Amino acid sequence: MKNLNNICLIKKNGHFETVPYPRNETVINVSGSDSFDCICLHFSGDLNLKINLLDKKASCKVHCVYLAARNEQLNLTIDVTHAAPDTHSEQLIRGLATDSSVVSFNGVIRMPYNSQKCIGNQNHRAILLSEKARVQAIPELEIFADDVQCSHGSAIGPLDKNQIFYMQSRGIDKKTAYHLLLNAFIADLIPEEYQVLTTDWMNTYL
Amino acid sequence: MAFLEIKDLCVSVENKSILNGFSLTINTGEVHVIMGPNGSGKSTLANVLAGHPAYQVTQGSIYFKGKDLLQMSPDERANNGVFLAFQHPTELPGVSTALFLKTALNAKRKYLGEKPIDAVQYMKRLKTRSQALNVTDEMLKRPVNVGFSGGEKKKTETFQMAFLEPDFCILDEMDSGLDVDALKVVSDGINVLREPHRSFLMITHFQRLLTYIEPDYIHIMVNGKIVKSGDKTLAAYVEDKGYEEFK
Ligand SMILES: Nc1ncnc2c1ncn2[C@@H]1O[C@H](COP(=O)(O)OP(=O)(O)OP(=O)(O)O)[C@@H](O)[C@H]1O
Ligand SMILES: [Mg+2]
Repeated sequence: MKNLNNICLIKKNGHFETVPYPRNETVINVSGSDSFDCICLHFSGDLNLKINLLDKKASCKVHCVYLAARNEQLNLTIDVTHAAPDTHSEQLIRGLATDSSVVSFNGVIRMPYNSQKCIGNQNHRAILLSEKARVQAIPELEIFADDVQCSHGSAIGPLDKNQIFYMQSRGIDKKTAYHLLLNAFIADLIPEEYQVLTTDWMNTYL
Repeated sequence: MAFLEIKDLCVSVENKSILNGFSLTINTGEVHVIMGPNGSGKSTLANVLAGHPAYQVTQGSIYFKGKDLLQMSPDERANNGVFLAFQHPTELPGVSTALFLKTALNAKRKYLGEKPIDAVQYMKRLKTRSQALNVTDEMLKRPVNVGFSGGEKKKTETFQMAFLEPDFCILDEMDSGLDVDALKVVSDGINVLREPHRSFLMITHFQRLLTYIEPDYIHIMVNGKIVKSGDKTLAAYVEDKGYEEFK
């Protein structure tokens, strides 16, 4: 099994490019009407992004897929400040946790007094693939403006056994059923050329 | 050798016994119908045949084409020709119906030692079977059962069955919740599959279905076992008189 390194992709001129994985706390300032779009594929260690949306129409989209196995401890913090009115943010996180891995996701959305007309969405979903794996999500919403839209949601649980049975009842073996369902769960967040890594991970740890 | 032989089957779920000495023999090419009051165990029987892990078989046996069905995993049963069209089919978020069925078909081919189906043949088979059941291309692209209406679920369950061409078709209330036109479509979809090598077990509450699909036998199930069997006239009798006298 290849060593699975964390991967970070950032959109530049309409294309995603790999950049060195952000170590430690990383501050990203988005100015003008720019959009900071990134995709993180996270296997181990920490991710700590602080994003400031500084001007009207600035936006960010942070998509993150984490895959935790063995006794890995993953800490993910995504902290977005809507420092100007009419700024938009999206945090979309999907995770799989197996073995005795421990994951903590801390998603922060800050909308201070001057952040009217801002939109902030955060959604985290994780599937637990073993009895011992632990995932916790700690959403933090600091909303001081009144004319804003802000949503957050988190769902953590095992794979639905009925889904596995339904697939088996059509002749698909358990392993393939898991792969299909888990791929479907994370695939729309990961560009196709990187899906080989998640498949690799599944082949190794499921 | 009977096609399907269920003997003295006892099944419980969460320590509650649901089937209490259920026996039934089905021969090749036959259409059997099970009717019975709500909660009598009809879907439980269907699920046990398909191998649902929530149900514990505490007694009895099921032999399918001479093989011990209870020793097989759900996917092995399917690949041996068992198909259950579910009363409440499960949603598979993110998995398109087209991909799902291709995976299922190739799983069976692999099990039988055959090569995966080629793309052209697959598309042809998908088109023919889906058009026959009014399943649109748009529905094939959508994730399995997600957001389907009640009637659409029944149609796609029947379509899946037609596509996979199993030998033993178990249909759990495929007629419930269908409008008249849809009932006709689903019945036609079932009728085209009637062939000498294929048998059917249909669960229904309504005689109406049987005006479209002519059964060989009707069984009345109460409290987890068959209390009366007869020909198709039994359905009319039940529709008229209810189940009271069988309880
Ligand atoms: N997975 C389960 N967990 C708990 N109880 C169950 C389960 N499956 C079935 N039962 C119970 O077993 C009994 C029989 O249920 P079943 O679904 O087999 O009835 P049915 O004959 O199909 O009824 P209907 O005509 O309403 O579909 C019911 O009391 C039901 O609540
Ligand atoms: Mg039922």
